[in-house]
Order: sequence, then structure tokens, then C-alpha cells
Amino acid sequence: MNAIFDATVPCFTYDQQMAPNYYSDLSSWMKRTDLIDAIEEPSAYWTNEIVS
Amino acid sequence: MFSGHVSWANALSSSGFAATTLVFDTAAAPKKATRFICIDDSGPDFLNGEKKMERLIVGLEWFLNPDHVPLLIARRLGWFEDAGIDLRLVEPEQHLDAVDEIERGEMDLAITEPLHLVEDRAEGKPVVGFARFLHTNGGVMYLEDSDIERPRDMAGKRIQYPGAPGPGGPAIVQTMIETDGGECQLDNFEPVNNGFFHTDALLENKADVATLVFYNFEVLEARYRGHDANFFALKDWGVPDFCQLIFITHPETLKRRRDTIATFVDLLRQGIDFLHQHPEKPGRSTSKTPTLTSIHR
Repeated sequence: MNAIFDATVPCFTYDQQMAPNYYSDLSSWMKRTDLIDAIEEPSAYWTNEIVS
Repeated sequence: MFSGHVSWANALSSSGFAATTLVFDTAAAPKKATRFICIDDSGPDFLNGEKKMERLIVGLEWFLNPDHVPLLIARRLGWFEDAGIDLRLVEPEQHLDAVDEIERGEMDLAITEPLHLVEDRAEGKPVVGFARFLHTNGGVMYLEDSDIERPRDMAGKRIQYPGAPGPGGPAIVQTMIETDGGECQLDNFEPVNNGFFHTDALLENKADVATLVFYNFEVLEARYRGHDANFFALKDWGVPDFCQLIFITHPETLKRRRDTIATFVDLLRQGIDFLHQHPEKPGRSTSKTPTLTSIHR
């Protein structure tokens, strides 16, 4: 349990924001692999307004 | 010790966290509809001059585990209570349950992975993400004593993933195989659904590979159990890195309860800071302030 705990702590991020470009890349891959039918603008489902 | 969610629940419970922080009502309430408490989300008000707590129900993406510790720290140290927030954490019966609960208005916030947020939106579900709190390394796990040495060796293998037989697991593995110069057909894979328990699926020979695993949990778990486990990282083999945990909610909830959610995020951040700044190991702390020592026991 200690090893898992020790490996987990560094994974907690100081920055809670995410870049729209990240979601653009992710949704492009998901479209390419037929996981989704259409790509939506990241601003429709992700906001940094709460943490900025 | 690592047999699954009961072990983690017990470990955290023995530390005193569960009694004060968690609503572990899943076992006692067999019917899903009774697992969630109706929410009065009109915000805090006053009863006989006393401030009423504003209940905030947060759905976990998985069973309780160290990925959720910042919330437990914040609750244990009384920060949520001081802020007037009655935080409830609820484990899902299935990986994606929380999104459905949010859609029905029976849950306020939920933890998920970016992949599922995009999926949900593509299916027209009213959800919005607003804070990331964990980013680990992860991908597809395999055992070193198998015949898998590189991603293209996974062609035609049995894939364990919680959404099986859905398309997610094979899409991840196929991308890795092709990035490695191999070829495969999606219908050549055998989907395996062993719930949340990736490690068990490999160790019990139910599957050859498991996705999506987090290095900080399943890989170390398998090694702790005496097996030589390794993984192909998403980011190394052509798959966007979604080994991250984020919070989502309903867009209307975000609008209506913005101040409460902003306070929630502030306390989450405070919990993360506390973890980074108090890396005490078991038995080293002499402070009377609750520290990580208690959850190492």
C-alpha cells in the first residue's frame, strides 16, 4: 500500500486547468477510431473558468 | 491486501477516514435507486440560527483508492465542514454510473477520465468538465512471462477493460499495434469484462492484457502480488494521454452552484498542497495534526 500511495502523490496536479488543444487531439483520435461520430468544440464541454 | 475494493475500503476505514468521510452505502442498499440521497441543492440556509450544511454528492469513477486522498484529507481536516459543505463520496456500481446519476440530477459532481467526457458529449449527454486533479502514466498492462514483448504482439489477444465488449479497449490496443508497425482486425480481439479488477483478470488468466491501467495503481499492485508486470504507455504508442482524472457536472449545476463548486475546487487544491508538503512516512510524524500517517496504517 505504501508503494502505491507514494507513487500516487506526485500524480496530483498543481494545475487544474486543461488546454483546449488537448481535447482537440483526443477527440480527433476518437473520431479516427470510430469511438465518436463527430467532433465538438472543446469549449462546449470543458471550462477553465472555475480554476482560473 | 490487494484483492480489490474491499481491501482499500478497509485500509482507509481502519485509518478512521471512512467513518467520518464516506458514505459506504452501496452494500447496504442493493437497489441502485436507493444508493443516492435526494439533494436539496438550494444552497445553505439557516435553521434555528444554525447554518445548515450544503450537501455535495461526488461520484467516484472507481472504488475508493489513493487517487481520492486529497478529498479525504480536506474532509478529515474539517475544511469542507468549515466551508459549510457536507461532502458525500459515492462509489459507482459500474465505471460510468456517475454520468447517468448526474444527468438525472441525483448526483452533483463526478470524477471521470477525459476520454469518457468526450464520449458522453458525443452521445449528447449534458456534462461539462471543470477541474483536473490527477495525471499519471498508464496504458495497457501485460505480464512479462507472457508472449508479449512489444505492442504489436497484442494482436488477437484477450483484452480486459471495464466497458467490454464496447469499442474503447480494442481501439486503444489497435492504435498501439499499428503505431508499432503491426496489423490487426478489431474483431480478432476477445473482449473480457472483469469489472474494475484489471490485475485479477491477468493473474487469473482471464485476459492477456488490461486497459486502461494506471502505473501508480495496477502495475504496482501486480508487482506487489509477486508478478512481473509492465505496461505500454498511451503516450508512447500513438494514443492521446488520457490517464488523468477530472471533475464533471451538469452545465446547469455548474451555473447554479458555481460558488459552492469553486469552494470545492479550492479545498481540493488545498488537499493536494497538503499531500505534497507533508510527505511523512509511517511513524515519523509527531504532530497532533492528522497527517498521512493515518492512511499508511
